[in-house]
Amino acid sequence: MSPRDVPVVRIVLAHELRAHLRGALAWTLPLAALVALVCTLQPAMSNGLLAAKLAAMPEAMRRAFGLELLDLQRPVAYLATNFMMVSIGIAVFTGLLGSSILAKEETLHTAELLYTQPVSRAQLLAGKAACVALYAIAIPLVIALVAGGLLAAIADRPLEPAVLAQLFAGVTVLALCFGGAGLLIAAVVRDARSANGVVLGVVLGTFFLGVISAASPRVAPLRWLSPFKWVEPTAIVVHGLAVIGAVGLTGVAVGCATLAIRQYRRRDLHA
Amino acid sequence: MDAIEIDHLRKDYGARIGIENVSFTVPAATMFGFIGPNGAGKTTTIRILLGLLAPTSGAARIFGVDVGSPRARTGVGYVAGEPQLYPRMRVGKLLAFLGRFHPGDHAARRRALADQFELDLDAPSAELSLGNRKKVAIAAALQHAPRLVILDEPTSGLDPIMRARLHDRLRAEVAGGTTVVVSSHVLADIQAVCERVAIVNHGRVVAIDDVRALRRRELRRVRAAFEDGRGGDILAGLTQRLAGLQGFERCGNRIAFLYRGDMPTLLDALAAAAPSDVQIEEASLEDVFLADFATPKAVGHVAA
Repeated sequence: MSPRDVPVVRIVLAHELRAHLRGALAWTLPLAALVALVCTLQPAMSNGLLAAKLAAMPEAMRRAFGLELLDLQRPVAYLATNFMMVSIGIAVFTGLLGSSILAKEETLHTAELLYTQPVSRAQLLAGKAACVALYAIAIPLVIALVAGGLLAAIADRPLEPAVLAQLFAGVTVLALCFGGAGLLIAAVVRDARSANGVVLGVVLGTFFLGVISAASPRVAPLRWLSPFKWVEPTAIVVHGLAVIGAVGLTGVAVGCATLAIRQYRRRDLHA
Repeated sequence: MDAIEIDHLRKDYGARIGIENVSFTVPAATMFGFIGPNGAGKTTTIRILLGLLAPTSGAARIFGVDVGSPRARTGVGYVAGEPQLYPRMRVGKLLAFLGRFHPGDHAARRRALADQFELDLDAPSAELSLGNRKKVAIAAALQHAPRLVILDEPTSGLDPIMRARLHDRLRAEVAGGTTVVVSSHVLADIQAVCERVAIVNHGRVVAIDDVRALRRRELRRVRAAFEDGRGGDILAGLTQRLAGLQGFERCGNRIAFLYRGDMPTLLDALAAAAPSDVQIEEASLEDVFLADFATPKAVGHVAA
């Protein structure tokens, strides 16, 4: 992208950020509230209650969610055991955002308004992709601040901010990955209205693929097909964020967005 | 330099043909009409010009720049047939957003257009009727002082006052050096404002000519009235005596038809029928279109 493209990208970015602010808040606030609720329960749960609950789980389930290695006295470990809904929620939102930010121009029939301006589709799409990326970064950041603030205030052991940061960095690259996938799906699926359904299928399908992959060593290689397993919260707490996983998911995000732009540039727009 | 050059343009939709072998030019600073029935290929041609559709073959240029390049749309304004707006934006914000894609400050011109077309800049776009959405689209297309404006069915949804204002505005834009292309199946609109037209049917351009020349194709609209109830018999008699009669209409004692042929023969035939009143006038563009170009739709053609 040349410096001349930047103003157009900024115009589209500002427009899309405003257009999707309500949706972003509608997903962020419940997720932040859920995390806040989980965090406020941490002192009560850390005195063996959670450990007892986890011990009552079947071993295969503990292994599937990576719970068997955790020291549950650590606030970040406690948070990691309750992180599934946050990961899925943010992945679904950014996937749907990536899909709808492209598809809406055809479903709302506003393509004639936007794509007839004297700028390239690549410039317009770069602005839209930047909006998806910004929300993919901002939403985990907001939730991280809520979680970090509450745990620092009420937990009886040190917070380990570096681990917390890695936990949310993992969710951020996961969100970027599904945001990019959403863009690509909307660019490829001819029927714009069905793109959102495909996105939901991909997010939930890859999540369950990751769960299934822990059931038996024979299906363990399936874990590589699940972005959720590349940045698994419990593994991050024990081993730290795997650089290869983070870089890999960021690469998938950039690759999907690039392919989406290439594909959409050639597409006939009928409405 | 021509504002638009279209050279053997073709667009296929799968196995079906949208337009084929479409070629014409539009000189700069003129008002050009693009007419044809629904589904004739007008919108497909316009969407190729605006870069929304890629042609299957052929070429199109705007002020010498291939329409595949976004530079071709520099200084171009477009009014869609049924414009849709971002529903959560207010009119003023929407116009300002679209204006940012064009260099310069358009605020003064935007306010003038809002006044001329009685636009409420604070109104939410979601609450606008088709006519008001059309007025917003017109303001968006004209706010940056374009050198080419393309309007697809521009008067649909507009009341007669706004229609007249739009015609006046377009004439003023052309006087200032802007090229205007109006696509419509409302031929009265084209006749009112355009100097030259391309007629498209079944995906092909079937005629390109001056509006006046088309109307002078020796085609006359004849209306006659009779005091007794002989309208039907007289029409049958005229059909036998005169070759070149088309488009018969009868309402009570009044008859109307289109005639192309020798004028003394027509007058003799009418005199023999002894009408109480006769009007013979130049055919309208719509009459010319219906008489000469409106053939049944060919199988295998489709247009967006």
